[in-house]
Amino acid sequence: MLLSRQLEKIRKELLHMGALCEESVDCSVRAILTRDADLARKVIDNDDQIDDAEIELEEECLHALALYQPVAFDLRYLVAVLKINSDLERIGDLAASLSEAAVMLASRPASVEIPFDLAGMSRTVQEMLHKSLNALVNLDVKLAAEVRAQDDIVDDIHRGVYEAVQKMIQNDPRSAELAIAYLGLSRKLERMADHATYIARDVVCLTEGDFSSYHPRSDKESPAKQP
Amino acid sequence: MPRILIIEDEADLRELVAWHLTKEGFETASAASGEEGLTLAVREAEAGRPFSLVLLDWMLPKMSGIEVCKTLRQNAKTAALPVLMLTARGEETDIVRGLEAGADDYVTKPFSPKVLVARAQAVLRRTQPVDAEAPIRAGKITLDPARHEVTAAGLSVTLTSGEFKFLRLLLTRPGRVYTRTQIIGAVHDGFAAVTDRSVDAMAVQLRRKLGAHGDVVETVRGVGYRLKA
Amino acid sequence: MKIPPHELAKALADATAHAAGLSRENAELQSVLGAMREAVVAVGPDERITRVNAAAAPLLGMTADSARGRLLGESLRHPVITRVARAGLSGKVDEGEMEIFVPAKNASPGGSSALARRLFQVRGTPMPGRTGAVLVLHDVTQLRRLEVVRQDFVANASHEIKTPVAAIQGVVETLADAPEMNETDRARFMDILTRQTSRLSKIIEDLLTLSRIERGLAVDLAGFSPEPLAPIGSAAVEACAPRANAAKVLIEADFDAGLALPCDPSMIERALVNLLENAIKYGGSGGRVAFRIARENNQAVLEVRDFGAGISSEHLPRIFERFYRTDKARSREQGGTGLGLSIVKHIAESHGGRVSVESSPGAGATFRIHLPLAPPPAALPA
Repeated sequence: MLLSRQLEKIRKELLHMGALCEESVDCSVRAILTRDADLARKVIDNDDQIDDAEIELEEECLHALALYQPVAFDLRYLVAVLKINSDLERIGDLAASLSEAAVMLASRPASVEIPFDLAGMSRTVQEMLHKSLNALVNLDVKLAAEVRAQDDIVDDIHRGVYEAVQKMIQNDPRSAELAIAYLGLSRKLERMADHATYIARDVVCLTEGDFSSYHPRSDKESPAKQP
Repeated sequence: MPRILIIEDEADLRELVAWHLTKEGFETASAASGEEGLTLAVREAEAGRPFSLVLLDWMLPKMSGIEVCKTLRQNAKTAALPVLMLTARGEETDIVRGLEAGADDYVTKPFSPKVLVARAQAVLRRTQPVDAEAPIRAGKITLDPARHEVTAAGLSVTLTSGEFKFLRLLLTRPGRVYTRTQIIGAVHDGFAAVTDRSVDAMAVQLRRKLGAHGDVVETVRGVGYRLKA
Repeated sequence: MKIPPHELAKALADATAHAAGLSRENAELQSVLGAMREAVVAVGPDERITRVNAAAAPLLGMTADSARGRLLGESLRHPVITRVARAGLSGKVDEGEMEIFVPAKNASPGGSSALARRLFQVRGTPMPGRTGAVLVLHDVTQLRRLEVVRQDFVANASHEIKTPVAAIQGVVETLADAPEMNETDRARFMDILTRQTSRLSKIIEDLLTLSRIERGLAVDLAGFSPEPLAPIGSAAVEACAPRANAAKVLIEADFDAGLALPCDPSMIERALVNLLENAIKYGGSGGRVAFRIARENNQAVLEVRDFGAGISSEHLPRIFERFYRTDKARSREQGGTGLGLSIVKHIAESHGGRVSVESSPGAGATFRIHLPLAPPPAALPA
């Protein structure tokens, strides 16, 4: 009875956390595309809110684990929430860091166009995040699989960006600073996609009750991923 | 010798405006796109010879005049560079957008070259750097920031802190129009929420307290307020 | 406690009547909600959905019945709707705007879950006695898009018209004020005057053409007898020949000689000339332009294709709007008025047809005019 009330609270907070992150990602991308430094600063300020929400959610989970000693699905659920919580927090951080780039880019002439489809790439990443959270809500394994498929697309785009940026620097070495900033945007989006994929994988583990495939999380960028 | 940067994609207008400014003794430089103009403005500022004023067309290919203006304001080196916006968009909401992007004044197309030159000179006059602590005078009104005192024709006027900041904002650049949002930004103390309507109410109070000299606080309909020059 | 049977019966009858009244009210309420275009979602104090109307179901991607009992955040996840709902639950009216993903309308069932991005105005009202909150979602995506189109049109039109006027007025004033001006300057100013006057007159001409077409050529179409399209195509090619030669562009024509349909030949020629001129301008010097007139199903397709820099996807949906320019500086240098494609579109539509464009950066652009042909006799039901 009490555990179910605690789980309800956790469910709501997790959804709120997810909503905050989705909005941050959306605003950070829009800030870059529309050169809106004010919007970007708002995202950076809001990151504290996401960090607070993460801490609170984590405490609620630990509280539930310690106090009610849940078993079976409830236990798996709480473990999954703890992991997803930290993924969301990382996504929030990445959105703030995209926004920092947005502030920097807004103070430079837009003389060199972004050499890749930033809007398209971020749309895919946003869809992945949205679907991974929906998969969690509905315990939808099929939707989770879609997220993992889209991750491959994002990885391909990121590899393409690497080449485009290389070309950009070769063509005009003076554009190196901007080129590197653009590559950074792509890398951050690609990292967000990874975290959305982790969430999707957790949904699969949670639903199928299989802990054996739990992946190790890497908060650092794995060197293998770097083209 | 004041140097003016003209950012306008229409070559004929660029030439026409430059001809008139040169005739009035200004030096000019031109850019045909926002990117080019921005790069030039930043480069000259970094080299220690900033432009005195930018004449900026709103409708430019790719990067718009609004974006150029915002970008200038974001960059510490060009943040204080006066901007006079040229625009075919005469709607009040457009003018508000231009001012809020950081333009100091606006001239709507079509314009008379003579009027444009006069407006450029006015912007240059009122954007001379001022000593923040020195008393400011406009007509019969004096505002002393250091002593937090206002007098009208020698008589002391008691203002609230909000009204004082409002008047001070208008006085620092006579003739420049401030939008309500900009006034809220300058007056805001961090506690009370200030709305557009309360800016209007403050203006009414300010006029009343300044008595016979109240009409210096001029309403620009649909846009904001300015000090009658 | 024992209740006398007659009292019990009366109580039961009252309750039944009350329930009948309630269910009638309920049915009324359902049909009112069902008739609303706005999505309505009611939530209880626990933030769980108690009722949704028909318009809300597609947003939630599920039936109204299965939505009931779910947490609001499980179905509509955005900080704004959470804030508005919580305000409603604490007795306050609140509203806001949010852009969210919703299931795409044409999503294939069982296929991958396509998403659409929509902009909503959300308004939350408390229910009496803090028993819940009602959220009304109004989809303003299309409205906002049209607003942008309108604002852009006003801004672009005033820019295109006022810029030459500004130049003309400025030059006239300058010449009037400076009688002692040297000859070189005077000649330069006269050049500006000539150039800008001709530009302004081109814009006015195009605007007049547009308004003429808009006044409805479609009505008169019945009066035109079937015209073969190939000669119209040849006339358009001929009209563009000087420009094509100057730009060293080769126009490769491929016409189906048998195609004919009722149309105003001078209008169709004008549309084709506009498309060909664009293709010559943006196809790159020394290139080629492929011009095809062919039958496709029950349509005549008039297709002009260039192999130039192409058009990026963000511009494609808007390229037929008046004064819409993908690259303002370049197209004005090229002497365009910003109305050419809009004229093409109106001519096609006044003939009961439509226009389409396909392009990707680096791969050139293909513009098509689709005109309906009378259905072939074989296709007619016996």
